[in-house]
Amino acid sequence: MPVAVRASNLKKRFGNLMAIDNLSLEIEEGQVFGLLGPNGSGKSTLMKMMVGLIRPDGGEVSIFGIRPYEKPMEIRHAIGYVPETPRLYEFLTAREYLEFVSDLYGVEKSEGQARTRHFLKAFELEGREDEMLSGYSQGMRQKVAIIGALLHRPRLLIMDEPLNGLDPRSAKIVKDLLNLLSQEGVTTVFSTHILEIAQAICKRIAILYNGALVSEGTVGELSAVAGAQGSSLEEVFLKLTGGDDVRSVVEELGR
Amino acid sequence: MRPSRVATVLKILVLSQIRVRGRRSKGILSRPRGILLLSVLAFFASAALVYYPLSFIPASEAPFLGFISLQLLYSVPLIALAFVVLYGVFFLIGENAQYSSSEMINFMPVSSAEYVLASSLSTVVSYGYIVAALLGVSLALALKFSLLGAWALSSALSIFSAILGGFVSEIIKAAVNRLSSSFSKRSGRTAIFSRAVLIVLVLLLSQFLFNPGILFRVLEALVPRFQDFWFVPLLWPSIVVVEASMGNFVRAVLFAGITVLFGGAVMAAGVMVRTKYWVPVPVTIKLGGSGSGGSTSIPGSGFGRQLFTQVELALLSKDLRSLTRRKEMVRFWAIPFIIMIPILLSGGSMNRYEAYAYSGMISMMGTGMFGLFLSAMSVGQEGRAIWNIFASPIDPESYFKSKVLLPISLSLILALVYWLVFSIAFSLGSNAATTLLVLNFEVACISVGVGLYFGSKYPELSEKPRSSYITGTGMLLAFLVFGVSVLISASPVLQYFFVDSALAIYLGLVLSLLLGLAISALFYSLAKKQFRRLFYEIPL
Repeated sequence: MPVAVRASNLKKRFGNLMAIDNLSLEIEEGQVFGLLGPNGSGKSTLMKMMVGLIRPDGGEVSIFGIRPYEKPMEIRHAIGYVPETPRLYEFLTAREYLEFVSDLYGVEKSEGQARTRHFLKAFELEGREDEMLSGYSQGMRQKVAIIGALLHRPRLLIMDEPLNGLDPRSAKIVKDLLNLLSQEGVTTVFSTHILEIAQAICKRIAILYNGALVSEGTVGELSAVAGAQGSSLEEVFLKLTGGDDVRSVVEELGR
Repeated sequence: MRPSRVATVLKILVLSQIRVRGRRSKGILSRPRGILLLSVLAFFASAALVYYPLSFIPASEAPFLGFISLQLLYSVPLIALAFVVLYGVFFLIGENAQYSSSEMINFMPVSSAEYVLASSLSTVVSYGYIVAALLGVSLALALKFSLLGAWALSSALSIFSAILGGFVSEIIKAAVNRLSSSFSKRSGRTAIFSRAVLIVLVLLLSQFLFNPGILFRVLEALVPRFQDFWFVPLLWPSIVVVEASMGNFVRAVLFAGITVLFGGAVMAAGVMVRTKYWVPVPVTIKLGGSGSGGSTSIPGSGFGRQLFTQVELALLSKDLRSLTRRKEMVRFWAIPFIIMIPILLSGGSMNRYEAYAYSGMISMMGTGMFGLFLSAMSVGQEGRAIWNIFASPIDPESYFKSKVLLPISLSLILALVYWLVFSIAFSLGSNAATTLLVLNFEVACISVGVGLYFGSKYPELSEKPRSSYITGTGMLLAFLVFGVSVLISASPVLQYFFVDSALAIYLGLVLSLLLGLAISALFYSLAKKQFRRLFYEIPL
């Protein structure tokens, strides 16, 4: 299977903080790939490096064989990105924002409008598209950001906690959509803290801790590495990220 | 009401107002204690600066100056109140919409009375250095002319008036919250337009009122007759000082009493309206349902498409919407009008050469400031939403082109409007009119080039309640470089006016134009390089 994302010996430091520490990873095309890790483990930094927003201090990352910071235009046409907290232009309406995004990606006017209508309906934003984004709730903004990432039919979706603030129906739509896109050959890299979702839709999962890759594989493979066969992904995750002391912490807090 | 809670909220609000002005979290000036220190320094520095030159005043002038000083002491409470209200209104206009709510505090156990008192005091403390400087100036005059008693009373009442100004600001804030919430819900695009017009009018009115020329004229007319205006509550603190210095102590005490009662009533009104309109409702503005585009969209086909790519047009359209819809951007539209105020005040009293000088100065300053601000803010105003640009397939050249186009178009239009208005209003001759046109054109080009360079080198992208979109260093450098550049480019023309030069006006103009274009080209090229550097890595 061709590789969509390849990271080798990636390093990134912010001052004293080693955000990404010698990380190597391969993601095959058409996969839904989950990035898990506690807060500050380097997931968002890694994703920003894939998009070309941040340059590595060492090692390299390539998307479909191309380094994003060398041919950014080519790579960005192929990528749809949803950041962790998508800041949108609040003075635009949802329709205007999506038109703006379509224009940036060179989507044909009629196709852009048709896809916008289609997605707005699916995410139950129909009838609200001419309201300014300043009046949107966090979940509604998240939906608009997700639509923006999908409009130009990207080959690779990079989504940083895309289900944040989404209602159950919309979350289900996103999950099913990722599976559908995966069948069409679209690769998805996404991070989440909801381990059940990762377990349900990810073909492979990477667990990051303090900027380093702790383990990578299917849920079964991760369980084997953690020595916790038959356990839930939550237990595996806690074991691999040193969080299996949760019970004692809670007991301490309860005193 | 618990004073400790008022003090806690006050501290937080002062911190937020200080850090809104771009001060970092480290350093003495970023703490409330630092602001108090600044006020103390302003007080002593202004007192010293005024007292020292007073010792050189001839004795024959002393009685007249003593009289003027007493008049000033009467006016200080009114001026203090006006300044605090003015800055309260400015704060409201410049505040980023997403921070304009008390949501951050309203779930905490703080009563509205405690909040209103703390909020009013925070406005006073934050701008306290202005009142302190005013009191310092009046102290110097009082010391020189032995008016210390009047000064003490005037100062106490000025502090009271400043707090009163804080309460008045609270009432204005509540009224604006109420109005904008209900109006915006119903009126859509009209609301955006009306708000923009209202902001420009408020800024114009405030500048007009606080223009030293007008302020002195008003006070000149008002001060000798303060007592005639006994029915205007805002003048009561001044009347107390007048009556006390005239020895009418009973009347002074009476007015002091009703002043305190009035202060209490204003505070009660502030509490009442803030309680009622505590949190501005997040406004949902609906802009029609046309399907695409809008009133500020750039034509997506035809002439526009011949010159610009789809990406450039999209960016241009987005920036135009930003400029017309965002409260914190709309204030820049007031610049061309504010610059005109001195000429409006001068009325028809100018002779031909004064008119030439004024029209040249006003139109160059207006065009330059407008172009400089618009271009210097163009990158920073993206804020954290700049990820949309960096994650999209936009090359730095397209981004640069779109960022040049809007400020340069608007500045050139303004340059033409100024030229037309002044040429007609002052019946400028052909030489003067051509000079004005050429200089305005140069200034527009230079201001945008300089602004873009410094705006892209020192962008301020962080989200703050009142962002300035460019760092303080960036703005300062932009102003300095712009000023020097305009002087250099205009020097061949200035030489013609001030030095007996053999250069004919048209030769001077050609030279000036060449210089102006060369300076502009230099800064456009530097800015373009800076944009490429900006795209190296997301600057957040």
